[in-house]
Amino acid sequence: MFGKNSVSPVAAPNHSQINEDVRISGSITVSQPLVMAGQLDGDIKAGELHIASTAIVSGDVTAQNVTIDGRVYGVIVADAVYLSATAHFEGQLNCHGIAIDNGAYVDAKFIKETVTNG
Amino acid sequence: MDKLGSKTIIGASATFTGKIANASVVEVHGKVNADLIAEKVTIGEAGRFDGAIRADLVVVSGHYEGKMQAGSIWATATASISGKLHYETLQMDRGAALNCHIVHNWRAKADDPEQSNAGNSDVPLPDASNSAKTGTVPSSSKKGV
Repeated sequence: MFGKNSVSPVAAPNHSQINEDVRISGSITVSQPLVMAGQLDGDIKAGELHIASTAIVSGDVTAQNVTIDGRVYGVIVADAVYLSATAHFEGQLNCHGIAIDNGAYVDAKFIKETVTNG
Repeated sequence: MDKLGSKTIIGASATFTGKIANASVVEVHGKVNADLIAEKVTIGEAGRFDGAIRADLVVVSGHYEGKMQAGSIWATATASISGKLHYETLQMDRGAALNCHIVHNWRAKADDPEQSNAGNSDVPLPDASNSAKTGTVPSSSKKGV
């Protein structure tokens, strides 16, 4: 590998991240961790999902564990959801476990679910 | 958002479909089927990108298929590219597989991309001449007045 003239310029990371300035329309499916900091118009399917404070997600979110610091409009289906103090969530929440910090804006319908398959 | 850096990464396990706009640096290691506008795009060895790219710099180590418009393109040894490349500078490493239509200096030759691929330059020309006429008519009438 070292002797090669043209080593691949980047090592492949397993996680995915969408930067804060990025605007996306479409859908993302990830089995490994995803950090979403941009604007998404569409659906996310992920294992471990972090929606950062700069993120605006309009669409359905399916994941095992979701941490929300940003804005989400849509349906969240997850095993565990954590809404931090900066979170803004409108929609429906199908989940097994919820944690909501003081200060989070939540306008949602909650549906208790048994553990999903993510 | 310092911990993110300035990169957008589509990881090895990720599949993305849709449009990406306003991205600065994008790394693709998964499967992407999208139209992308960015400054720098890297398609990793395991990456696979189908769709249009508009960027200043594109480094391809994986598989690309589509129409790319870039200032600089670097196809590394593991690259496999098909489709159409519009470039200003192109670097191709030994082993890179290019099966595509390659056009140099696309910006200078065709600011309007439809002009170059359609070949019917009749359409824009009458508009230009019309606007030229309408441009001259008022000036001549001014002279007359």
